[in-house]
Amino acid sequence: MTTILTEIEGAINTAMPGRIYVLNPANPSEDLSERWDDPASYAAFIEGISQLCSVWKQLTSASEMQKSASILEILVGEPTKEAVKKQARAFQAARSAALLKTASAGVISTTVGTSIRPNTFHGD
Amino acid sequence: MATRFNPKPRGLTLVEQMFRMSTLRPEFRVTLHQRQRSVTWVGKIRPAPMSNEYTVQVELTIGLRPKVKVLNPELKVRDGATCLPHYYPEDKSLCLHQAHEWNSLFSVADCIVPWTAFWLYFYEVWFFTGSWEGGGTHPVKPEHQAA
Repeated sequence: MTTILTEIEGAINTAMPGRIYVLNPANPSEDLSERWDDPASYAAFIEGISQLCSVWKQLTSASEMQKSASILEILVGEPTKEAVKKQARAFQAARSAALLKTASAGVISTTVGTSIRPNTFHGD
Repeated sequence: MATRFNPKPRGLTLVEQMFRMSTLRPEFRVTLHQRQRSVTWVGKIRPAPMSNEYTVQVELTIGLRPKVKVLNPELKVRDGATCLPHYYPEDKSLCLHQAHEWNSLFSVADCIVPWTAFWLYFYEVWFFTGSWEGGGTHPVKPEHQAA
């Protein structure tokens, strides 16, 4: 995604002051982006890409689940919370089945290392 | 007839615990308190790639359960909850296991540290979603579930 966005930004800059052209690979004479002949439409596209790049940079540099998830929520909406829960449930299922292992440097995985004994979080 | 010798398995010594920890988590700083017969490790855990990095302290005293405290960043109670799930507020340590799930034959590096990483991961999920997905006792308490 980072590469794709960087390349789109690069193509926009290279095409300045003109616009980029998205041609149909099966029929290169067809311009799929002909609507961008309208300067307002093309300006809106550039603005959208710029905003997406900005949010994506924040997302990829965020080092907290809270921050990352909040940014994802801006991008894709409420399903983020459900996705986080779903991932946690899958992780918990692997943990309960003693499928998780710890290798050197403490990295947790399902493939290499010593099996981690199941535990039950206790107390309040 | 000679009596069969069935020695009771002895627990790991502090030195054995330290050795195992230095093998698996060499970045943890260790302090041995000989008079108190205890050892303390301080190190960092990032439970998932998108997680925060936590500085934790693991204290092991002979004959007692290991105590794990999060030194930094401070653990926070989410809006709408009254306390942290699976947490002893009296001494600010994490409730990682039931009594029978730990004994001195187990190593801190193989059990306590991964369990701490799990706790931190589920804490972050809870803080974001309001739902404790890591199971455990008291899972029906309001603090463990979204409203």
